[in-house]
Amino acid sequence: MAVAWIGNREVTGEQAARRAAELLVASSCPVFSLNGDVHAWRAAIMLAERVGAAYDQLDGGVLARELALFTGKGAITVAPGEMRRRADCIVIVGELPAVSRGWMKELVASPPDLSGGGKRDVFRVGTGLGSGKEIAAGDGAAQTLAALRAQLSGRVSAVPVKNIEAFRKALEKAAYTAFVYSGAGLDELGIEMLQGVVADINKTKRAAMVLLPASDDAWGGALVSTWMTGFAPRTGFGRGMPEYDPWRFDVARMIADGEADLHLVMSAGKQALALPRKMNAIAIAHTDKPVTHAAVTIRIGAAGVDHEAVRYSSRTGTLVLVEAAKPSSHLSAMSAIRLIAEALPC
Amino acid sequence: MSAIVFTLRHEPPERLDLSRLVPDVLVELTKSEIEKIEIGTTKYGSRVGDIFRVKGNNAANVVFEAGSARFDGVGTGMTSGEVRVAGEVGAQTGRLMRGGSLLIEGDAGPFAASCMSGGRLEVRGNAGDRLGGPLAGEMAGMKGGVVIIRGRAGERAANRMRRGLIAVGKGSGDYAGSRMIAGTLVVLGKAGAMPGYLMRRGTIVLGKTPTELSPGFVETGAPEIAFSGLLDRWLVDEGILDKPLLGRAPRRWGGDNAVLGLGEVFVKG
Repeated sequence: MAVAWIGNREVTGEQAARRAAELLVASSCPVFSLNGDVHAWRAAIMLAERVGAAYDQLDGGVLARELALFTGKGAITVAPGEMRRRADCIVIVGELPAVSRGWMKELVASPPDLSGGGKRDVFRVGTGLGSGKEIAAGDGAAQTLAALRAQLSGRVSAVPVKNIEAFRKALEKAAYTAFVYSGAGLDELGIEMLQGVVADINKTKRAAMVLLPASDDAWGGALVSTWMTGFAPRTGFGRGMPEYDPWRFDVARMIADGEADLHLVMSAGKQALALPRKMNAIAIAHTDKPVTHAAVTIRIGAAGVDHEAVRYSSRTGTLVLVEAAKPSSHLSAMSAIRLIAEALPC
Repeated sequence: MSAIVFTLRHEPPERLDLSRLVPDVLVELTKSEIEKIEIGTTKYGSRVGDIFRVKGNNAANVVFEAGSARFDGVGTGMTSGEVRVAGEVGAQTGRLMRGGSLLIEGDAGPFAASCMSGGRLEVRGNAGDRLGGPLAGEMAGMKGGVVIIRGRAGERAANRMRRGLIAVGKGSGDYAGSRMIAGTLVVLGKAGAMPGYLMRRGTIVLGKTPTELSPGFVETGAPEIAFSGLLDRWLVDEGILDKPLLGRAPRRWGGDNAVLGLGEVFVKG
């Protein structure tokens, strides 16, 4: 079974890594789009530092939105486990990622054992999980949160808020209120407004936000990037030291504006990669054929399937070890990146 | 003495950090020292002499004879003198500017006037997103000075603005005046959705009734005030308006009540 390709020609992993290393050395502005487990992110960021690359989450717009609250404002957050045990009032704001909906339904239906007499009140802004009382004002979540925050603070809003009295009573009764949200369901300012609602409630009661990231691997990558460089993704090493700039190092923008001259894409997922025709590209992908328009393709296995992996879990709010479900001899993304790093000149 | 003129040799192969090519820095450097300044942001490692021909010796007057969307940080931190770019510029033009005058004859990229606290920035074309706004990790945006955009501004103009005045001639994107702490934003033409979202204090003047205001804004009538006349006169003097816009009794909305509720949005009565 083929493990790597240069263009459409089958080669060994080492040959592909040597060609990838040549391309990286020759590139003046390489960019990385990353999607993978914790080990893959670590290896990729180390490689980025060596070759002066900028890196971003693959399709990183939603992650950037989720991170903006933490880089620009700050947040009152709590781990999902604390929410499960303490939150006697839960508000689901906006759409939640499909991967989280199942366990969130279980959580909402379960009793909190550390507060509230074993019963939860559930509200939603938007369709949420389809259960719970709806809080609504205006057309979208950002409008509803603005009106809700105004009324909870004793100020007027231009439109009434549906179920505001029921929510007020639930807040008064609750020992702990948790607001669950995702960057996929709220825009950047809507997320900041939600943080404001939580901060206001905390003047007299306890409340916190629980982020269910649109992609657990992306959030894991953000954690890795932060511990390795001090910054979240959309960081670049072009000047030798890490620089964080969510606009400048938006890899999709850099490619569109013609700034990048080499694109390394790492994806352990099953989605087909769409690479632009005009640019040199290195694909490290879970694929059984060369990726279209890639100068080099290295085949990798799926994290947690072909090999064990460490991944972020939004269910627990921590990193977890995932055993290989069907162990195979496929390279992991980390191994593929390390092959390339070893082929670089010292 | 003649102005220091930077003439572009060729289109830059990378984004350039031009934050050091300002009067305050150049005044202490010889021509050969200026040509050695590193301005590259990638492995190209461009220096001034690689990209520009440099002539002149009056550091108080700096001219870029052509522009590029890859010119970042033009006029950063300048406290005096004049800088003129005969073309477009990239991100963060006039960032942290404290004084002097900066003129961009083409378009400006995102974060123009970011955290500016004094001086005057004029853009004859359009400005990108987050005009005057802070970068990640900064608590406030523009803190003083005057910004005039003759064209259109992108999304979130005057984001987190604390003081000063921004006037935009031909409309703006969504969320103009988002998170404003204080200061004045004028948008002639059509503003996008929900101007003033999360605004605490400050004033937004709109040339047209917004298509959508956040529910945190409540109409408060059309009070007679002196401020609108003063602002009208200034806008006419600056050539932004041909005739007064607001008059003596403009329509007024107060908000954003989701936060402090001490901001205001004015539209012609």
